[in-house]
Amino acid sequence: MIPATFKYQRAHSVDDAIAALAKDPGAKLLQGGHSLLPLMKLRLARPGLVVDIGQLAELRTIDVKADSVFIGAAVRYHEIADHAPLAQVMPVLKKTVSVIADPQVRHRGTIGGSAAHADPTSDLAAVFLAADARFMVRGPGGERVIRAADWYVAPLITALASDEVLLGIEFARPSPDHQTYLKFAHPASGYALAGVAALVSYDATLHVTKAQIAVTGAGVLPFRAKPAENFLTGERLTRESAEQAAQLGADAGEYEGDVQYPAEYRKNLARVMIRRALESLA
Amino acid sequence: MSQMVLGSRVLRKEDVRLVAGQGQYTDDIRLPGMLYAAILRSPHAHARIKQVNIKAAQDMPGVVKIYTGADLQGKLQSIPTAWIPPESDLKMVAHPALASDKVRYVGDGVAMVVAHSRSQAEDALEAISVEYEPLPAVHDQLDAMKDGAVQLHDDAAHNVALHWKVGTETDEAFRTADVVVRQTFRQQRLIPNPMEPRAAVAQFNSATGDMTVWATSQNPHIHRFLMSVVLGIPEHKLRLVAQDVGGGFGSKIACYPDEVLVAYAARDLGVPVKWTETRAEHFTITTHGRDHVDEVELAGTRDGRVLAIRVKAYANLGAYLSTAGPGVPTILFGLIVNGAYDIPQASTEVYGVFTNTTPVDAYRGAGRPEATFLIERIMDRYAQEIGMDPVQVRRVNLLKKEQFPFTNAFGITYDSGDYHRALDRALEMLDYAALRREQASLKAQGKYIGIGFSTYVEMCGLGPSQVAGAVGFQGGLWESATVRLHPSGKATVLTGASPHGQGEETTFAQIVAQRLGLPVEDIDIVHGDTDRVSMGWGTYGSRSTAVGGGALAQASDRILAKARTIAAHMLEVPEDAVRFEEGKFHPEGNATKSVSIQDVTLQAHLGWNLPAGLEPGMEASAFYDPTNFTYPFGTHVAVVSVDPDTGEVRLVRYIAVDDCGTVINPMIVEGQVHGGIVQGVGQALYEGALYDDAGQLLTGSFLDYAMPKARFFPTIEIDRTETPSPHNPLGVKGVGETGTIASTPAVVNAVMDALSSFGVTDLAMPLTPPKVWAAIQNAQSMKGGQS
Repeated sequence: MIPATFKYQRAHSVDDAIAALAKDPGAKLLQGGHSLLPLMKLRLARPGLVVDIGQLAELRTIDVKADSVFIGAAVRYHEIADHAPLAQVMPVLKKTVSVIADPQVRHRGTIGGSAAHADPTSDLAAVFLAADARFMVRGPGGERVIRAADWYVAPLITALASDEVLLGIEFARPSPDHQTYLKFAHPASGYALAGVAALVSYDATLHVTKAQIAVTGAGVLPFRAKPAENFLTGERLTRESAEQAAQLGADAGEYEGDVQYPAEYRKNLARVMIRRALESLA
Repeated sequence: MSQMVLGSRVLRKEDVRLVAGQGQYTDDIRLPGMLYAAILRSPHAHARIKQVNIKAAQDMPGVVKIYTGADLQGKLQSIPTAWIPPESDLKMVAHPALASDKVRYVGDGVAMVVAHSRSQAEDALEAISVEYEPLPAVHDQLDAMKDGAVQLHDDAAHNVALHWKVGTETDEAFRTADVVVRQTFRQQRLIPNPMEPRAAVAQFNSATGDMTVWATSQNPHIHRFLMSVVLGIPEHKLRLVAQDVGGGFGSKIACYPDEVLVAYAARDLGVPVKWTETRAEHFTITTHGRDHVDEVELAGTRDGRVLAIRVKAYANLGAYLSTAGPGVPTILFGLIVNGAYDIPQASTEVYGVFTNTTPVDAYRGAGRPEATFLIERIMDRYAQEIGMDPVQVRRVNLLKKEQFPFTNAFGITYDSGDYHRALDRALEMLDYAALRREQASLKAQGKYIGIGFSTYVEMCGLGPSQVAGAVGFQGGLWESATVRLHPSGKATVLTGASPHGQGEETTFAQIVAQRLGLPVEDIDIVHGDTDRVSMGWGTYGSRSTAVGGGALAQASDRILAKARTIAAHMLEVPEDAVRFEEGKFHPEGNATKSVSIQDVTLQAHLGWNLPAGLEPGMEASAFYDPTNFTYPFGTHVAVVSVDPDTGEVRLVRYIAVDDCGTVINPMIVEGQVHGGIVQGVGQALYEGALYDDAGQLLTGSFLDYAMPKARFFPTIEIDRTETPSPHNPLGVKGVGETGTIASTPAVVNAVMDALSSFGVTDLAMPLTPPKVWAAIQNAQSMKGGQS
């Protein structure tokens, strides 16, 4: 519980942070510290240099524009929950961050930190995938955009290069009318054993015009439940169609069990939670 | 001063200090020149140590000294156990503070670094290289007893640490009974997690030879005694201080290698040394609890009368014998497996087994939860077998009021009780008939709820010293108290109990306040320091109020007797004409003329005008040894819902009607009941240590080991009946463990009641969602296969 020796540097700008990363390939970026620091205390992560970008004003903006929403990487969960305009245009974000851990964590943890840490049971991963988030990153060679579909490479590994900084996350507007995030929490950690983000639009007769569904926690990686979306589009949203979609959606995941939660159970949970998320939107 | 101080909700005196961060926990101790220790722990569950190379580590910054097991050989006695059950053939295997030849569980200490800072000590650990020759490991007690299983200790064949039998003949009953129910229960291993991990600081004065050890202990005097033996420091030169301790639940009873090592280094180096456990260490090295396999047989009649119970238990003791380890699955378990029922014949047979796991010792309830679980579960199985309601089967067999004092088949005598009354009250709160109707109508909608009962009794308030000796506990179980009234009339009260979260700084002050008519705020309770409190046996086994409170009452009464003598002298009336009310003495029939206890106390200290021959001063001590244990009891009811889609169990209602005798502070009693229930439900639904075949702990953090959370619980509905214990001065029984003891089977019975719709009769704890879901799936696919 005592980290190995490391150097700490507070970056004064994003470019400053990029320069620090360039000098030390083993360096790690620090924001809220709720993922990196526990790993360091267990000496599972032992960066020689920690570059603190949690205070950078340029990473702490929330910008609700006509055709998009931008959330800076260092914006904290509680700031997302408390942002009324954001809650209006993308209610799923507030729903999701409100069930992350506990109030203390929500006042320190950041959206960018969560995205970059890429824990496969992270709640926000389902939202990023379902809402086709765009990850805006900057490195020594300039800025680029990474699509959510390309972001999650492996557990704890993203498409972000080690010399890049995540600036923020962008969502296109308008997003579907009906949104939810439903999670079945691990009784020990509170992380998602299955968390489902569902964004659905439907017409006056409940016929689905758009469905975007993603699952976190249950699978090896968070995944988009495309077969469920394809099936639902054009269908009426009912208990039966939700169940069929859930079945197809769960099939899209790749599952591995652990000693307490077998793969078969995780898949079942993905199915049940997709169905319940969809039912809650009808 | 009100007469009502006993039984009132006095707010906890200790909370101001603790909430304001002004407590003094062991890790708060900072001494000039203090060094920090870190201990290198075996990553293997079982291995021979070929070589320990400390050279590189010695050169690390800040390192003062490194000790290996070889360095300590012959310098420290083995870490002892303090409980040797008679006729159990207990194998007293060596437990060195640091291993030198073999490690026997993941976490076994191999070397200790002492450095100028904690981080330097931790860094240096990584530079020590140990060459191990891994050996096969065994973590399950049944596997460990098999022929050919790897042996942990040379002198414990088949890894059997103890074999103990108790009870009556039962064969006849089982031969002739209408019904015999057999069930094997696993009561899984639990990992106690008090908020404060363990810690120790030691300071040695080489000129005087005085050693002071601050340590997280539930029983400083026992700790002092055991450390004195291990270190070879006489008790008058060894002071053990446990000022504020952040919870223990049994895990801070044991004398561990760590505090011994810290004291050794402090003496060796001549400077203070501190060690603080990390939470990760805590999971692997601090004693675990439970871990039983119990083969249970019940013989009964068709109409619900239990004739006999027979238990064969296999208790996992871990790699070494912990301080109370051998006593928990024997004495504290085997004598009460008949529970609250009048069962004429009963026997218990116990195997205690060594395995390559963390040593097992007391965990809240210690033995009695195990006993209560199996009797309450088998009663439900029996009810099912004969088609009787679980409440009715309990009614038939519960002891009746007029049977007390009741001596059970194992020879222990239950002091007092009215079990049917507690059951009736619980049923009334529940509205049982209505709930059964609701259960049926929900089932028709595909929704499943279950109702589970636990009509428990337990044995606590440890205990009569003569019995302690007879059952092999290597100590007394009486308690001491000193009441010291200062000239101002304020009181310092010393107790040998060692509260560590239970609120006895408040309840003990209430006891003295009630007896002496003093304001609660004028009374300070001192505990947890062997230099201030002459002797005591600590806090565990729900003993503090029943035994420590008895000592307080006696010491207070001695003060009062002396005060009365002086008051009579001051009032110039005969002693038997003096009345004492609300802190004042007055002559009988004349309330206007009076002297207060404070006036009397001042006079006692001044000594100007005392009755002839009376000593000055106002201080009294008592050493109270109870004549029996106390037997709190009650009825707990759990109502659960089971989600067949996910297997998730939710606690819908929880009713607890407990009887802990006279209540001193209802708020504190309720707090104890709440906490106990939550811990017991933790075992039923969430918690469980898991090892892999190599003996690695798979549940070594809060990410994997599910502690119960507040959000898992409904409001707990509490009521009490009050049947005083007839044999102690206060009429109190223990309440610190009742919740844990009662709740586990209540919840499991409720889940099984819900699952009875699927034909599921038993599942091993914890009843996690995947386990419940899989059981339902299996049941449904079997049903599908049949149709």
